[in-house]
Amino acid sequence: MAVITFREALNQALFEEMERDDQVFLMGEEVGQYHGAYKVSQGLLDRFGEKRVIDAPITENSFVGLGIGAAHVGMRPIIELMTFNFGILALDQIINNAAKLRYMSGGQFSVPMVIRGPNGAGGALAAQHSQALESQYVHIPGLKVVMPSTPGDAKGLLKAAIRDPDPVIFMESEKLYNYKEEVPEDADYVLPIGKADIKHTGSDVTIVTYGRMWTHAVKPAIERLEGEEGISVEVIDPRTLRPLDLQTILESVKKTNRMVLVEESWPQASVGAWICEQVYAQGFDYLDAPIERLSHLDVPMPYAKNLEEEVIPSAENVVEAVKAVCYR
Amino acid sequence: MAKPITLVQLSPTMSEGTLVKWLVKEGDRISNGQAIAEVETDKAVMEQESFFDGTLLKIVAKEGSKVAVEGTIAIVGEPGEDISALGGNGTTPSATAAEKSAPAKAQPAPAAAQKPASAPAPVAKPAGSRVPPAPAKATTPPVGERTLASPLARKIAKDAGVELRGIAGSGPQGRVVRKDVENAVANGGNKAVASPARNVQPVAVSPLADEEVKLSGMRQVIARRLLESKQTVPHFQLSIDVRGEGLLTAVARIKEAMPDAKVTVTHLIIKAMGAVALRHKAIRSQWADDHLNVLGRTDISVAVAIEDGLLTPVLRDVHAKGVLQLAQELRDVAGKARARKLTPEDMSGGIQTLSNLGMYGINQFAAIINPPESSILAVAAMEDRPVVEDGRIVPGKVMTITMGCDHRVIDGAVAAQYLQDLKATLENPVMMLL
Repeated sequence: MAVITFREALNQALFEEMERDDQVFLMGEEVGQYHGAYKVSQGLLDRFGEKRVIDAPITENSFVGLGIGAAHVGMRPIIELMTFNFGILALDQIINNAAKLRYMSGGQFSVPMVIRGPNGAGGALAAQHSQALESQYVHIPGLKVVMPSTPGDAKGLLKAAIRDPDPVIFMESEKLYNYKEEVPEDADYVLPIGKADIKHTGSDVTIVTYGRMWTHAVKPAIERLEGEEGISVEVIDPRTLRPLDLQTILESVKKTNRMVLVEESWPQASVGAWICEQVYAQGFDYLDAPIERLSHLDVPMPYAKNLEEEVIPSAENVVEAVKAVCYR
Repeated sequence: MAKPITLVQLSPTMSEGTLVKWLVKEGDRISNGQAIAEVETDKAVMEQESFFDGTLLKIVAKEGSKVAVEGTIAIVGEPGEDISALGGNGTTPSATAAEKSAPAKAQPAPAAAQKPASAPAPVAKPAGSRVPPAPAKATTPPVGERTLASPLARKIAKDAGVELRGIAGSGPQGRVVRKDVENAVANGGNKAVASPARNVQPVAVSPLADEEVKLSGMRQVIARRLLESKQTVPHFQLSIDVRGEGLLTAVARIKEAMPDAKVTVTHLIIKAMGAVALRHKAIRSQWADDHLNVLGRTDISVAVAIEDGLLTPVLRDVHAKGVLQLAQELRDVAGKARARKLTPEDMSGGIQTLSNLGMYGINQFAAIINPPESSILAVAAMEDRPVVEDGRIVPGKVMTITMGCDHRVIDGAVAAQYLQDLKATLENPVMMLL
């Protein structure tokens, strides 16, 4: 397997799917001539031409709506948001049209599109450009929400998202774009949407995490927990936040009886809150301790780098939270 | 941020304590190191100190209640803090304005979630949980009356038919967790068996009534230690009769010389035990599974009866002290014992215990060893008995001493030689000077 970056893995997925299906096209701000604000669409314009790699004006609600219309008539649009902070402008199209058309047309129409881009803090980008907005989309029936944590998952899940018959919100992380890992070279490497991955196997406590928190906070904590603290940790990455693979999480909690949830978002009405609630409700008799949940501090993201680090869960926080649920 | 004050383990064998008396009240400012409550532990009443500076927001353990070690007895913090997450009920009194309590309720979740180290007893953290933990239902009994247990622990207990109440919890605030129930099940304890109905009809009106007497922590510790001794220490007893004229003469001489001296036969026996122990290594030895600990000292435990119990304060380096000093020290420790002010240190480290029931006219008895000591002397009354001297029956002062021994440490012949030596010393008190 080749060791490539998260960015290259996404680029490969786009290349492969556009080669495979000529109905697939990419549209967004700066995706063509500039090769994408984060270079995810590098080389696509040269290969596929400007009919399939389209630079859009700065009009999120409009070009997302344009994508929905194209999906209506059988195309497979991939709409790139420069960041999900700008996707806020397109929420009307996403929530009222993309999410609702299959239901309201009684199944006559479907919206097979992908809306993708970076989500979460990018490092000193200040409050308006550092938002983690996954809960906005997870909240809406009719949408699927995917949030990969590794290059391999990014590639396999983006390919699945492009092939999916429904609108998929595909959330990346600016901080992960340069992260390298092994990625299968199989041209048909497609991962199932709605299936969690056991990132690490253990027996004493289950950590549920997704997106950037796996490599940023959880993975660095494992060595300390298993080495210095002697606590065996199991890590479940749902990968898809909607539909959620609760089964895999519950099976792990039934084994470990203790759970820590780590998310890169704000605590109130978050995706993590929902997962914890489901585990409390369906795994009640298997819990030996209250769940610990690590989220952002409940403040707008500060611009200062040191303060930003304080707001985002760290490996140190994970170690303390795991010890706390183990009553250590 | 509000913090719980938890019960400190004040001795190695302490697993729970009874909160005897609060020395401060809710709303008082308290400081780190200040004594805030009296707690009855193993055998003594000791003072519990605060670990923090702040205001005592809530007393969790009421006077007279039992608390497991590490269980929360109080919550300290700043006035107005929300203490519901710590097992208190909601916001503390001085938070009046809604805008004051609202952010306070919203804030602890992410703050605590981010920095779990600052919250040693995290409870119901997730900010997004639908039901706020404290005012869930009006009928929910307050923390302290309800047995706290994890859902998993409850399920295991139910499946195993084990009663949760009475299982000491090792989680925060004494919460019973899986391993506590599993341990209880492994020990076969706490079966939830319905007590048999009593069909006995009273035939006459009795002036007496059945009652259930609550046991003090001391009473329970005594019971546990006696049971442990009888179950794990292979006891045997040897008795010997000791002529008492020498002791009585010695006491009389001391009083002639010093009319104010409060010296009795008991003090001379203690002195003799210290002196004789110097020469008998086995008496100073203690069983420790794969080896013996031989103690290089002559500290003697003395059983002191107090109301509702029995304590064994230790007199140190008995061989090196005069009888007057020993008498004074015994009065001091007996006073502390009655006031329940003995510390666990005051009651540990003895080589051998003296138990004296002579004052009640008992003429012979066997006592239970006080572990980890290897022997105990049960001293009975000094009586007028007919004794045979040179083939003739004459009146004599005699007391019977029965020595209980741990056979793992002391063999019969060794104990017999010791008793011979002790008898010779008691019958001729000058020997104590040797």
